Amino acid sequence: MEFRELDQQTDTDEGELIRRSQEGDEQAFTRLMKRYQSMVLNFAHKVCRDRPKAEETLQDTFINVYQKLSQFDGRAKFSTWLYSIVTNNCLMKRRRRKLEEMTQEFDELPKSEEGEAGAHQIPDPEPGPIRMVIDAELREHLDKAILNLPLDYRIVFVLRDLEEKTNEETAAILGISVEATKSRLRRARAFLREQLLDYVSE
Amino acid sequence: MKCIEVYQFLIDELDEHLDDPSRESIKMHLRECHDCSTMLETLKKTVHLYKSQPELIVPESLAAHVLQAIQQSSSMSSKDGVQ
Repeated sequence: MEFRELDQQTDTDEGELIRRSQEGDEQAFTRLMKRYQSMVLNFAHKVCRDRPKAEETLQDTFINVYQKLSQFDGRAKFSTWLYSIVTNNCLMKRRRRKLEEMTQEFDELPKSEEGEAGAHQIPDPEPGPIRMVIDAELREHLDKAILNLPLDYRIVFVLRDLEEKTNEETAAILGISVEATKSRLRRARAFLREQLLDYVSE
Repeated sequence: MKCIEVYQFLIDELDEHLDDPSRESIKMHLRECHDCSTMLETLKKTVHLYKSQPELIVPESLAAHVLQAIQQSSSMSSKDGVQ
């Protein structure tokens, strides 16, 4: 199949774009993807705190969307369905990574040079050297704190507090109860606050 | 009202429903209790720190890569006879 360049028509109704994509309209699928790619990349990045992994997640997610779009029946919001695919990809990557680590240990190969996930990534911006040092230090702490949080809890924190989803929508995305969502959020907030106390208390 | 009850509310709701009249006792407690008001502030700042991280921009090339990957995966699927 070939994808044509995205045309510049604005705001076609989302339902229409989904319907046309389900019928195999490649241009509609491209436009649907463009509409949601920033959301997917940023959500994945907030969860895994690593840009290359987030980009890989974006790619895997849209391949899944392309393959499974015919199963989307419109009962949930499209964004809810999409978030659940991104979440599954994040969880699968963690499983794969664990498996790779186990294989590596089994083979007694030297450890990867990467170290703790995401702790030293973060290239970025521009101005003043002092600002940059402070920003980099803070971001490193934010990365470390959130990466110390079990992934199930981290995802709830990102969905509820950063993506501003309701408890009900978060529960629907994850396929868990509202009570379980609240409980994970409670523990995530308490944990992160504890980890960042030096930065958030005067 | 006890600090532990206020803590339970804050960790669940932050300050989302503090304007609700039924929360007046929590508001009053927060005005008088330094520990609990500090707790609320530090919780809010924690969330704010994460929220204030800059958003990533999706590079043009990434979308093209994704579309290419979809093309490859769909042509592999059709070669394998998978729909």
